[in-house]
Amino acid sequence: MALLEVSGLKVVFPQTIAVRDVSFSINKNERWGLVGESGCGKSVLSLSLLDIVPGEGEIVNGDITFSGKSIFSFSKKELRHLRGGKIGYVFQEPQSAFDPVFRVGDQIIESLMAHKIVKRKKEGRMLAIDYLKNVRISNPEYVLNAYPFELSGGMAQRIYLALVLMLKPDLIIADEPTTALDVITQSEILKLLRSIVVENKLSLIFITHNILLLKNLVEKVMVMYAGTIVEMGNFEDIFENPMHPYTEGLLKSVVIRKRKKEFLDSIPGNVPHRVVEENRCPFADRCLKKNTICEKSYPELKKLDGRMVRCHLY
Amino acid sequence: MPPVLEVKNLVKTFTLKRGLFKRKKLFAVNDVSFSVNEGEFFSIVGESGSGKTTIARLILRLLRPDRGEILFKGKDIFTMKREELKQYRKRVQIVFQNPFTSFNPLMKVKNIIMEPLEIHSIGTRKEREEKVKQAMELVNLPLSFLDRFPDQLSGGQRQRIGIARSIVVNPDIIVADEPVSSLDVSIQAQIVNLFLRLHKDLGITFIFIAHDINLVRHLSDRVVVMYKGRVVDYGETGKVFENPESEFTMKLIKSLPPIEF
Ligand SMILES: Nc1ncnc2c1ncn2[C@@H]1O[C@H](COP(=O)(O)OP(=O)(O)OP(=O)(O)O)[C@@H](O)[C@H]1O
Ligand SMILES: Nc1ncnc2c1ncn2[C@@H]1O[C@H](COP(=O)(O)OP(=O)(O)O)[C@@H](O)[C@H]1O
Ligand code: SF4
Ligand SMILES: [Mg+2]
Ligand SMILES: [Mg+2]
Repeated sequence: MALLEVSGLKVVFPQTIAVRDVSFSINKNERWGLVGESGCGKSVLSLSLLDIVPGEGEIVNGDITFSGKSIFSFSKKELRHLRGGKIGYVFQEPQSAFDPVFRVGDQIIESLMAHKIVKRKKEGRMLAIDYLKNVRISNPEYVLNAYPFELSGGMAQRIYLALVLMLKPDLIIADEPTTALDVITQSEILKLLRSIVVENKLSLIFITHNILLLKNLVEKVMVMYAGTIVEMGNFEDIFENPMHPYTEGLLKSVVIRKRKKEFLDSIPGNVPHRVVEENRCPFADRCLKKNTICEKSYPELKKLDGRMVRCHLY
Repeated sequence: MPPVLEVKNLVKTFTLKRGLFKRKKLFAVNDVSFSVNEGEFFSIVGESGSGKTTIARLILRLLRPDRGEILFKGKDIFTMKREELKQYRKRVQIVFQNPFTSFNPLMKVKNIIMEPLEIHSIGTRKEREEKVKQAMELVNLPLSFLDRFPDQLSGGQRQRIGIARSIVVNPDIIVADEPVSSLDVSIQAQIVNLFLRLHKDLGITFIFIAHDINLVRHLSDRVVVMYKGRVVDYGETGKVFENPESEFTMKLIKSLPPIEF
């Protein structure tokens, strides 16, 4: 049985369709990447896995099952256990995951008690110190007494990872967790995240706009554009041989195989601000390979060579 | 090519207040020297807080150094007065890191781009409008954007406006402080291509500040690597990255994606 299964998911806002026709399933101990430009629906999709929709958004279609049970039939208690318990969510801005007015240690201990991981504060503190050492925080006592603003971005992200782990998740969703960090810290956090996931046999969804970050980190990848999955399959296959023109564009804009100062390949134009139901390919305005049929019909997701592709070329 | 800008033994400290009486001196830029040749693509790299933006602000004379000098075509910019300074400020333009906060949200695109022309009293009203249009074309923005406000544009489009604003006065040097790091990688490539075109076609000298060594390697002729306010590597880009002197640069290279776990 898959750990998480999503079928026919659709999430809409008054002005736009944020997610549509999204189906996939994630097994225990499987690492996935979710890649696409900003505004493609990555965050809305990943939050909806917790039955959270921001603002005036609404899940209007589809189902999500976790360990075989639909999350839309979860009791309040089960939902609380899912959010932050079974599924650990790591955010882009590490400091924003903490409340600025409380000490880091108190916030960690409170979470541990709310999720019934520990009964007493003292026990929580001991556990926290243990886990902070695991994420290579050298001075856990000091960190527990600190306020969030006293931490660097990299430190806050490590501490938050430790907290996520203490809550014993089955799945970690990391939404651009290194975008706000510099290159060296980014590499340290990625290594830490990967070893945590592998050692504890967890599943992972790693969200990014930079497909290069996924290399060696994940086994599978979903490429998202205008709210839907345009290519999905084994990461290495897709990285070596992208089939969808959008995936190809994402790859070419980061993997520089050019002579010095040569112009880079880029994807022209921008992500659409508004997505509506249309009888055309949503990528047609930016696609270098488009055909007349692309303007006339919405491509279906097709199974090809062990992967899924949504494009009229195939 | 002769150096167009020489940075010599530059020191900039900030005084940090710690409690009521304690003060601490922070060496944001500590004895930094390098020179930028005319027409070259020069890059400054380094981790967060290493002093890159502080150097940019010193070059633009938005800050004064504690010690050291910056020579523009042989003349110290910190001793320049009135007319000379005005000329310098026209010759050297900046593109900022964050296209989401760097503009006045109440100004229309055309006024944002026109502002430097007004500051430097260049041209008649008509000539200014013409220059604004030319700049828009150079950065590949449709003229229909002229009457829009910045919050109606995407990050990449805003960054193009920033670039249009910087080239409208025909500068010799553009200082670009992490101009692409807040953008999607696909949009980064568009903006990088724009820089390359301005560099190749108009011969503009670039001082490009960045974290992304892959880009820096692709773009720049020479590079300086900063660590905690100091220069730890300096020279031709190829040489610096193939054979770095400092451990920091080594570490930076090893941290580049794709990461070997
Ligand atoms: N006005 C200021 N007052 C006090 N400290 C400052 C000021 N401006 C900069 N600093 C400090 O000087 C150091 C260098 O800062 P700077 O902004 O130049 O770094 P940077 O290399 O541009 O970093 P980033 O990559 O994060 O932009 C930092 O420690 C910073 O906190
Ligand atoms: N709170 C909200 N209200 C209205 N629209 C939203 C809201 N959050 C996201 N959207 C829209 O949903 C789409 C997908 O957004 P998001 O999931 O945040 O993209 P990503 O994470 O890929 O950058 C976008 O068109 C965005 O404008
Ligand atoms: S369907 Fe057509 S427009 Fe869409 S990605 Fe494929 S080729 Fe391009
Ligand atoms: Mg997002
Ligand atoms: Mg800076």
